[in-house]
Amino acid sequence: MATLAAYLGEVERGLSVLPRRRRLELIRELEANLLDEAESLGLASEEAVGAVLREKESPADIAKELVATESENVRHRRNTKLMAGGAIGLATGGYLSILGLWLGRPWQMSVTIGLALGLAVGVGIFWIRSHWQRMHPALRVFLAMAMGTLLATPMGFAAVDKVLTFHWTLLSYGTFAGYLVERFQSGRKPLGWLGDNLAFTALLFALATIQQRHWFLEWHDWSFVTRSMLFNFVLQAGVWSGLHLHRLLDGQWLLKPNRI
Amino acid sequence: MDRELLKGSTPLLLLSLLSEGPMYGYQIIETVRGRTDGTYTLKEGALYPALHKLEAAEFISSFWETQPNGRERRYYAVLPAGAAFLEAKKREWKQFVDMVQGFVGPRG
Repeated sequence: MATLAAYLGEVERGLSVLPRRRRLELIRELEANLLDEAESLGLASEEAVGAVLREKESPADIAKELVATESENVRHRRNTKLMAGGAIGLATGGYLSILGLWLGRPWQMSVTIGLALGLAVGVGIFWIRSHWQRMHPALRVFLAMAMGTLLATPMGFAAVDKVLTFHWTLLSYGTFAGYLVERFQSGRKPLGWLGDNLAFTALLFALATIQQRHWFLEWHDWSFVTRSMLFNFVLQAGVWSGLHLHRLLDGQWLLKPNRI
Repeated sequence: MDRELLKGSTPLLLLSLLSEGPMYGYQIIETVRGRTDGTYTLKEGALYPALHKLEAAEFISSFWETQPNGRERRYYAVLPAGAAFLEAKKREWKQFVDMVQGFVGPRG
């Protein structure tokens, strides 16, 4: 259908500012829509298709609407991911900074851990989880945990004392953050929060036992266990806040008056 | 009918339709036309930006499916976050309608 091809060609020209892949996807979608309509109306001749297309918005107008929405979507996605991840970083980094002041420890480590958890793990998880949203819930949790672990690589270097060492046990915070992002998606009762916290604290103890890290020896001290649980709770609260902030911003953005 | 009011409700209208099951673009246009007796016709230049916006908010997702005749269609489906948002907005809408009804509806 030459008339349809010409119409789509004009729309595509209007989409020239978009990346090629996205442009082709939008054209493919519009073409599918118009072919569905032609089939539904039983249009077979060029004249009939042309008559229907003349009734539609001009290709330039459609392209203009699509381009405007695309850039707005990209901006919104970037901002919400940054803010949601920032909530995790702010909660964990803020808590560690206060604790560091209390215990007289260097502030740099708190900031590094907060940045690594917030920007690498938080923003990263919120960014990539859109790719697995249609999968089975159990698979989503598994993927989030796996990706959280990978994204936590900078955290492995965050707890630098004097020598740059990679602490692989710190990757487990990324695993936990990934788990929480998917788990909180479907709501979590207070007992669930407590159960998650206890299970993760026990996992940390197991990892410390395997690795025999210096702080393994500190586990006989209940205040250390309490502090560890408190940090895990702060991480839980950070992820919960990040997820809810994300949803709040999405809802407000979606319903705000616009051109559509 | 106030068309501006309808336009502002497009994301919720789409979420509500998709909560019944995955749909493709032309199917949405036709369903809206049918249910509003032709009062509201969604045009492509309004429908697709609205769907893409819902997708950017991660309230819906899309997937391509090949038909028996070899043609492809892009289906849209609601995600859990979209379903939760829709439920919350439905509750708000009911409260709003009940409140307005108290003023403009028949007095018992």
